[in-house]
Amino acid sequence: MALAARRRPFHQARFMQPRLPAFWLYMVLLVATGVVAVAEQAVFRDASPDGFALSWLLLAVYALPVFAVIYALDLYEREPLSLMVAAFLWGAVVATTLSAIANGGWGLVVARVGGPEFAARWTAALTAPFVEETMKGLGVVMVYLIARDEFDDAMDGFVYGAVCGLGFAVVEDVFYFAAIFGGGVRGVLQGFFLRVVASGLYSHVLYTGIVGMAVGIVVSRRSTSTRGRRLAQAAGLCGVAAFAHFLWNSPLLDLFPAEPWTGTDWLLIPVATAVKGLPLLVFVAIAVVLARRRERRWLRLALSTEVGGDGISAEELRLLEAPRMRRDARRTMRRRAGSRAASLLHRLQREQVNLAMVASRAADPSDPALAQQRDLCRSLRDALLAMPGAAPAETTGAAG
Amino acid sequence: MDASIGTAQPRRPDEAAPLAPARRWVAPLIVLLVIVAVVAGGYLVYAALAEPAGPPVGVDGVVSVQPLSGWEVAGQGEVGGYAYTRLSRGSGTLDVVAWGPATSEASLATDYRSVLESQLSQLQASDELAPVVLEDGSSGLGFRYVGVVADSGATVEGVVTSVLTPDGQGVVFDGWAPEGMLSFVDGDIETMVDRAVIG
Repeated sequence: MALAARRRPFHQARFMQPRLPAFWLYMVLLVATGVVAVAEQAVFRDASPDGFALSWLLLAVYALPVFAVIYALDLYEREPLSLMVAAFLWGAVVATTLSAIANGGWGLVVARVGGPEFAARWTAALTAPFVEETMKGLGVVMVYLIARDEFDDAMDGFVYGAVCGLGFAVVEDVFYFAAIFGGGVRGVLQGFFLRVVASGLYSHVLYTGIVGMAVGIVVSRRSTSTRGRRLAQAAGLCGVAAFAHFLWNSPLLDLFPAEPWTGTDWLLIPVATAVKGLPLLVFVAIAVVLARRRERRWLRLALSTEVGGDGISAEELRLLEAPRMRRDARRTMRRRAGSRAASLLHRLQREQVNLAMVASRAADPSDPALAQQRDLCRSLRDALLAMPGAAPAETTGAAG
Repeated sequence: MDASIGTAQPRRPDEAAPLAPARRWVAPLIVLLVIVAVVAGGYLVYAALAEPAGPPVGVDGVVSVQPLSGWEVAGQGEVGGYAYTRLSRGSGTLDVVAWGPATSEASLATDYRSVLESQLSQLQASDELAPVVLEDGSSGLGFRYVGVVADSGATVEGVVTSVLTPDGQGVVFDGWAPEGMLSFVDGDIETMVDRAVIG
């Protein structure tokens, strides 16, 4: 029986794709830069074992919830974890290592052209946005080349980009804690306050999320937008990310109190970081809201010809469109009919999202793949309704 | 596509067409080229910009240094019996010292460290002497240091390279800058030392 078979959610590509050159390029770069990255971490660990352990502990406390939030951002189709981890590792290992080398070279150019005093003020602003956003953005491109099918819209690109940026931020923070803040326990705590508590909302996660969104726009929306328009939109988004990074690294709008920081200075630091970072956070929040609305419109449109059929009812679509209502329906189901029924409802909802995917691809309603997905949804619903307590007479639609 | 579905999935209308096996190489190669361009590009552009400016500056007929654009001769003379030339750009400085007879690069580096100890308080220098090979094939040894200038109380950091001429004359290159600034001049300093003509 179809229900008995455990299957991966539909439309979920794997990372391991040895037939693709992009996969091998990814692996070669990961291994080559991984050797350098591990050696660097060993230096930090040897210099201050306690500070090193504390660095990773604190950053895990920061990164895990952020990863979970990014993962949950995509309303209808969670990205495969293997690809999410691949994006994270690219940011953490490949992008940080290559950026360190490249920043050194372009820093020499800034110093050569502008002289040491100019370079001391502007090198970080003039090199890092260009170098680091390119290196991190290529991580999103690599994930796309490995799993082209996973990029349905800008939101997918945002998710992979944000995770890639998170990986970059974590390893860069470890470097800063060790090399700039001294690496001891006190230095690590100061660094954590400055770079994560006061700044963690603004930096690489947002920049690369925007760059990823640009990649997502270029590789999807082919049927609704011309290539020129998509490229223009992507260029605009990359420009916003690079400018925000430039502003963050530049001496412009620098309201940080003079060092050494004491007493109330520490309270002013979050204000100083907010002045530089908050506008970008607002921009990203708006972009994400717009992208999610677009996804909702897409879901409604994709299922418009399916409503009332075997695959989905009007009430089920109403629930499916609103993530909170979907969760409430599962919670209610768990109370009424137990966790197995709630789990089955969850799977039904996921397969109905997949039904939208198949419907949006199918050229006509009689497409065999579409018929098969409808049957799957119906069989899931039948199984659910057969469970004791799962189908109260007045809320059959919500239960199903 | 999920294997359990068993039916070939139609492509999404906005999805890119599947690539022919040969074309699968194109995009990864472009990614690789972009990486190489960004990583190596800065160094290549720097090398192109590191043009000599003005005539080479000789020190006591033992060594000749070609200043890069932006660097100027800030002083020449003799201190403690050693002829020297000072080049500077902004807060960056390169002192080139003709040391006279020396037995080895290591002893020369040790002797120069003694000079630094007399000029800087709280001197901290790297314990190991790193091997250096100049463009003309001369070999030398280098170390880095941080110290506080006694008069001003300013902290400076520097990088020293000691080299022997074929006839045993010592040459010391001491590039230094205020703390935090050396990284913005050490590319130029390394280039000028590398291109110096010894002997």
